Amino acid sequence: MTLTILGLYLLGVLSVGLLSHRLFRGTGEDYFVATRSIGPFVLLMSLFGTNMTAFSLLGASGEAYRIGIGVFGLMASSSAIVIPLVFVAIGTRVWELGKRHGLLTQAQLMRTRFESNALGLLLFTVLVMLVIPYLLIGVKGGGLTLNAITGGQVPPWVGGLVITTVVLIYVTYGGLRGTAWANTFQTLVFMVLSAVTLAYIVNRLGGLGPALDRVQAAQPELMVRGERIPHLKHLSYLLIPLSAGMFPHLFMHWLSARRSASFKLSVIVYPLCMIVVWVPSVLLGVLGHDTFPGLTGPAAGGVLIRLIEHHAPEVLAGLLGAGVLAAVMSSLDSQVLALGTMFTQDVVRHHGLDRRLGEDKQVLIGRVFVVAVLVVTFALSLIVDTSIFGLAIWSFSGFAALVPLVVAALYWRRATAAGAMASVTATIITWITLFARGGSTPGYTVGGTGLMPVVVMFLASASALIVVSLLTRPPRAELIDQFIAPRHGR
Amino acid sequence: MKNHPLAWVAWATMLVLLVLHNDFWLWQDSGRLLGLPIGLAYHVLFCLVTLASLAFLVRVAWPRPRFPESSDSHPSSRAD
Repeated sequence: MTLTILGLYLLGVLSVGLLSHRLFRGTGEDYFVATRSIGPFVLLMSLFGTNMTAFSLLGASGEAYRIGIGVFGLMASSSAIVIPLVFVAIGTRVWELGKRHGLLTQAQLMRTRFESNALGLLLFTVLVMLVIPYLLIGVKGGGLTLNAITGGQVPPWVGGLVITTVVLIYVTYGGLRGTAWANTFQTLVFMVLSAVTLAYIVNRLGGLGPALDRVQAAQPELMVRGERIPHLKHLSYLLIPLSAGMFPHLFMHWLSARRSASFKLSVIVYPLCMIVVWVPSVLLGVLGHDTFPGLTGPAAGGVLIRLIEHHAPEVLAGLLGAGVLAAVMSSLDSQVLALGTMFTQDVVRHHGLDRRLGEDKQVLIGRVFVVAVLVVTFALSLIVDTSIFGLAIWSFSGFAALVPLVVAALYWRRATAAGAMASVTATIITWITLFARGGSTPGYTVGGTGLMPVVVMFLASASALIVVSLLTRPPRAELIDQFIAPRHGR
Repeated sequence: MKNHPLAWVAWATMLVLLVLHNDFWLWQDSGRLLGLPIGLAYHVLFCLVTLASLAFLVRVAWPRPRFPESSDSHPSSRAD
């Protein structure tokens, strides 16, 4: 039964993705950004679905099992306010410039804004390096989850291969429109299934109140933040969701919006979407102690799957598996398409032999790169171990540290190419330094103070940008007028 | 075109919310609110208040186009 439901779900996703191809216009702009035609609802589902990974369903419940209800404030409500503000302050401005200058990638934006090929190349390299662990987490996490949910019937590598193949088909065929449509379908699936799973299991536990009472009697520390979440950690975690400002896959979805006003629904409804997905994950993680007390290590991380197997092994397991697949694939597809677009535009088109690449050829090369990125990701997923999961927070921190760069590009007339290079370089240096110190320590904070490493990276990046920009010659006013509206009286 | 007179209120509300996100006064409180542990209920309510505040921000402080001429037309130039 579990496998049948999973198979039906995958067929549904493929159908939605392939159906979108009917609207394909055959141009590069249509393949990469759906001719900037996506409306408010599909944009909301795409942005939210792309940002939610398997971590939101499984990782969050595992973390809540370990440290309690504070996970929601740490990771969910912080995103509920920071990410919509990123959409307003960065997303809408990027959309406007993307449409004005025909931009498709972040490196294009920085290269033209700062008139620096070196900056474009450096940024391209850093972004690819930061996205790779994110991709691996999706393929590997999805494979391991399917293996657990099917009771070992589907080996992890087969699960990873199935996920990779389905994404490959609808992304190469449907481009961004196929990705956006498939994301909409998948986001609705995992939002509904999160709520259904919570309702079903809580009912089986005899109701929320009695179940919470039992857990509180046994482990009262899970119901408070207490010593497990230091104040400074909670405060500095607010910087992590800023990473949305530099995610290549979100950048690509921003460009696909029909109008600036298309962002409004996403900005308003995002906090509600966070509640729908994260409250069930966190509550089920805490309630896991009622059925499975004393889990440690990877067993604690898989508490949600254990709950499902115990309380509803057949139908709900299949539905939850579909929900996890939905969360994984709705991120993986956008990340892969973003990387394919970056390779096509920033490497082949900009640094290659032919800058006037025809529309057909752009689409063909884009598809070839999507296939190549997926094949390499799947191959890497076979050889890296599960310690890759610990890289997620480091990947987010690197993206967040690059946000001063995009803010300066959009708002600060005085920002220079040298300042931008210094910002990226400072991010690289602080990231490597802190990762060398704490990369292998789960829950690492700077000097054990509770301060998240992202704060140091962000401050170094912003300081380098400001100081070096002020020490170097200001950029041409005519150039800046193309990106930041001319001052009055000019 | 001038900014909406309440635009600053919308942005100030966001700043206040960012401060209120740090509910340190509830750190050791194990009580319940609306059937949920209070530390969780507070942040669910925080999300709902944020939603309402964002709706207000969208209404009064939505960014005006910097280049109105290109906002509803096709791109005039291309980066490569």
